[in-house]
Amino acid sequence: MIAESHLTQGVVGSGHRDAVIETTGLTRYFGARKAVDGLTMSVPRGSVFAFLGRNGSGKTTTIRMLLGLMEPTRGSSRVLGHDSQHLTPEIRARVGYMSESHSLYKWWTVRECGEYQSRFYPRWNNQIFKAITDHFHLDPKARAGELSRGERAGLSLAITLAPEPELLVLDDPALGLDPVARRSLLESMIYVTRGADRTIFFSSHLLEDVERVADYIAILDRSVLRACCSIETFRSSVRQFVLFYDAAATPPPLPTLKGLLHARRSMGELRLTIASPDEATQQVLHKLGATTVEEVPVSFSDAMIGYLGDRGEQGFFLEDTTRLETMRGRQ
Amino acid sequence: MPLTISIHAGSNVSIYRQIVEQVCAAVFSGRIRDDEPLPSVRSLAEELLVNPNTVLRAYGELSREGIIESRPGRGMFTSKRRQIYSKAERTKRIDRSVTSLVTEAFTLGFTAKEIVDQVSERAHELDPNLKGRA
Amino acid sequence: MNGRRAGAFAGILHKEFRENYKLAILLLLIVSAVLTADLQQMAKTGSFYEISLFSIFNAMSMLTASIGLLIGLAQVVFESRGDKWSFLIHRPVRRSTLFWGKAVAGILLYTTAVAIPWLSSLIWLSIPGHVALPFDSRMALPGAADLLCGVVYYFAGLLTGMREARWYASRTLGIGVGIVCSIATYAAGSFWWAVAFIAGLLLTGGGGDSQPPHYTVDSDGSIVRLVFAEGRIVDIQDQQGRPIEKYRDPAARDGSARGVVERDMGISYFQNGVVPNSFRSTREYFLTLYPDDTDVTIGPVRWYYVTRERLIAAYDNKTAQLIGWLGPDGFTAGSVPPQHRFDHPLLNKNSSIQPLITFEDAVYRLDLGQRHIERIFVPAAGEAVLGAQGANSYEVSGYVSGARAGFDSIVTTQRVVLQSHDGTIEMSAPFEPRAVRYDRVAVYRALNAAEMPTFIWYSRNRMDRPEPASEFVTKFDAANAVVARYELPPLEMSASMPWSAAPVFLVFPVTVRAALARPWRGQNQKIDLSSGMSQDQRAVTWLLSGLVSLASAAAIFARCRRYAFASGRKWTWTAIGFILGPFGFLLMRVLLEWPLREKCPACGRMRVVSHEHCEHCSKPFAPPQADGTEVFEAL
Repeated sequence: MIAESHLTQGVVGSGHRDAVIETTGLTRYFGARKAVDGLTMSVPRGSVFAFLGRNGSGKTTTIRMLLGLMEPTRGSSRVLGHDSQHLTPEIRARVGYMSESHSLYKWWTVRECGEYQSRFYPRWNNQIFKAITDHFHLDPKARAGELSRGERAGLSLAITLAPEPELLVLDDPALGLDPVARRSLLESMIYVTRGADRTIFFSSHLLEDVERVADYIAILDRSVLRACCSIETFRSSVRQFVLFYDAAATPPPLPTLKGLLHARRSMGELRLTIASPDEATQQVLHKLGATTVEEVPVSFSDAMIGYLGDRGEQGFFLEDTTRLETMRGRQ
Repeated sequence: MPLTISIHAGSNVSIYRQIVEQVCAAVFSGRIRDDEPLPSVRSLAEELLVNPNTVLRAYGELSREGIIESRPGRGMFTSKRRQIYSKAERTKRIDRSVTSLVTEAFTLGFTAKEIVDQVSERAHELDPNLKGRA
Repeated sequence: MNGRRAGAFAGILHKEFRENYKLAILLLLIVSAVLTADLQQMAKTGSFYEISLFSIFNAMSMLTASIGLLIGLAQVVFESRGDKWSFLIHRPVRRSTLFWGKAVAGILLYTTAVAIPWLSSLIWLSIPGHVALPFDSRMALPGAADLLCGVVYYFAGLLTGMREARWYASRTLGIGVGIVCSIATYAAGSFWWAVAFIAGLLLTGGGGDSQPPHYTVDSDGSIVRLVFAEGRIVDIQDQQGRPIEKYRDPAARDGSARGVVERDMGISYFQNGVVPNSFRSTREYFLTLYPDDTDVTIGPVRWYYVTRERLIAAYDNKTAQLIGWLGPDGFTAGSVPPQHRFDHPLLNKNSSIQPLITFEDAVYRLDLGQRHIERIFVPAAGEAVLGAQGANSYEVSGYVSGARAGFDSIVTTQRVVLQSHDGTIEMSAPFEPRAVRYDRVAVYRALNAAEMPTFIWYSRNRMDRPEPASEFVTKFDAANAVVARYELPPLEMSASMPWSAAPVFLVFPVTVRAALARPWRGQNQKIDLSSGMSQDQRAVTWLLSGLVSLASAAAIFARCRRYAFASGRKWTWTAIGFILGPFGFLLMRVLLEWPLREKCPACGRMRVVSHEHCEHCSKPFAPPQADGTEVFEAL
């Protein structure tokens, strides 16, 4: 299930399940900088799909291209079967979108907000709007500009969910929210999964929430898609090994290890995080002169951080970099 | 019903695994008796705030292990206790925990006799057959 | 479904108004302030109404353009980026609905800000008793035209503000493009005028006013050439261009015109009875007549020839009320105009201070102080009057010098007549046959010279028709007998090319120059950048302009090829480059997004990153490099 190194990016079988989002070689340049490079993935209907990556890795750009808000430099994408650049109003009515800034018009009152939005959608469930605004304790007469961040998120969520969209696209929805608001957001996402054919595509940095709520994840590493799989597959693919050494012995410099994500030395031990280590790699580990080689379980967060961080050997924060440079050797 | 499951995200143990283990522990410790109904997938998912598919997976594994079973139209129930494992299998399973326990105890400086005493005491304390009520 | 769409459109309008009403009100106040200041200026007695009106007309054009632009920008620029853009666009309505919702709201806001104060000003002007002026509703035309132009600027602001969302708007305009273009062609002219003006100022300001030399008569009764530089006379030469000794002294040059009486009769050859003039000037509606007084102060009564009435109206300057009419039969008090009106349109070109008014069938002398009109000349059968210029009061009373000074001169289709004040014809000369369609006939009399010669002079106004033409002069002696006839060759600028002006030609493509060189509705003059130059120099400048067009087209073509534009797009932009010259190139740089070019790994040449395949070797883009840590699964 792991792709070869020349990589025709994860052909996620579009024949398998109905895909609500599909991209083919989606690429976007900003001047000379590639924000998104050759992104090919598909999102199955009914799933909760988390789109992960560090800040600036291209997640928001991708989402904007998916929704036809930005033109790709190259490549294409389809949403609910329609080309992203030519989304008809009927399709837009079925796609809910909430940006990370929870955009609203400041001079609206909460009630006006609902009224304005309801004019646009053929299907508007005002009970949902009311229920969510009540859940967040929003005064119908309060102006959007006066609400707190969490309350604005609640209002934004209300107008996004009231049209009961088939596909919900959320760009870092929990950004800036207090823990209570975040919990409400999580609950709303699980609420949406009540509809068997409703799909959620969201990006987030809150790895614990992602672990709770996502079926699948896709990881953008500096504009390139490097993972697209279920959470379980990811967990089982990212493994951590600890090599114990005698205090006297100096661990040797690392050879090139296929799939090495992260290496960390400390007193008498070398901790390696490796993606999809095969037999050969595991054999190599035993040949590094360690007293014991032990595999340790990794939490989803640590696996993700290891995956997203810089590849190769790392020290702690501002550790003695000259030492690291000599150790890095072949990395 | 005294089935209280609490899961922690960010643990070394995946969420579905935590559900499985906690249901197992509840069953084996007698906190749930045989033939008790379990919460539906959806209600447990919403209570634990996890993806229903995760709960579904946990229930699936528990079902495969014979700890719970599906009654058509009525949901999931704990199954009547049946020995579905052979003795060899059961021994193998318990051996893992025992090895871990003993190794740790030795590391902590206990003697073999102290270990045996400790285990014996605890086993008597937790014996479900001795409790009987719930 | 339709109800919902209407609801969405109304919602968009409401949102746009709500967001921008404060700006609109602020702009309305600014426009009101400007117009009120202008009107107050007009309402003061003693001000020059035409100039004030003109300034209102011009202020309007600047105001509408900048306000249109500002509103367009303000509506879009804050919403055209990032999440705000997403929030605007991700809605189940068509793009055109969103765009036109904004546009309609914007145009309404713009109209509120500009049209309300302007209409109020017009209404105020039209009410009798506010301004001592014959009001014609057609005076609304320039403002209306400016309002329309402002809409074009509004769309320009809208599109400019969209920046990276430009591609979005360009797909949406659709039908709107047609409307916009037709307005734009109207507005475009004023754009080029502005450019020419500024270019002229910047590029030739240093070189000075390139006024060409011209002939005149000096106080000795000789024909001389005046040579200018930087707007002043720097040399006076004889008829052949040789220096004249006494005029080396600047003081002598200053007195060169002493004692020379001049009558300058401009002739308009007009079609359909309409004097070709700018619709912005008030000449089409009225002409201010000043009392026969060399000191131009405004008296208690203002006099206007009113085109529509074909009568002269008199307004009381204090009360601004109409007090009476002056027709061919004399003055009638009261607001009811007399039956007998002037039969033909007034030929006087602009408000010169002279006592004669000229019609095709008669010339009249006015004594406005006495409210008196007298017909002084009637042409013969088959003859039409073309122009006239009369003696001012100083000349008549002899202050200038002598009885021979105070003559009226009249030019008709057949002759030039000099007539003294009591109506006797002093002298008459047949119209010079070689000066057909010449639009300037002048009479000079050098009173201080021996023989007191009189010159009848035919020339062509260089501003209107810059091709040089000979000037025909007939010289008469004191007994009004022909002494000499001259055919003066046209004077040119210095033989060498005024190189300081050359950069101007690098800016204007040949198409624009050709357009500017024709008189058009908006202005009453053409702009010829090469006025004052010889035929050869002129040809060189046209060649230069042609080269500019070709070079711009070529530059654009090359750029399109470099970025692998589709064929249709490439040729369209090349055509734009030819038509608009360097401005086309600028436009292209600004409007379009330029993709990056990278080296193709297969063929080694630079390829555009926005096409799936290399334009040289057709190899597709390689997917990104794998680093061995990938985790993929079929979902």
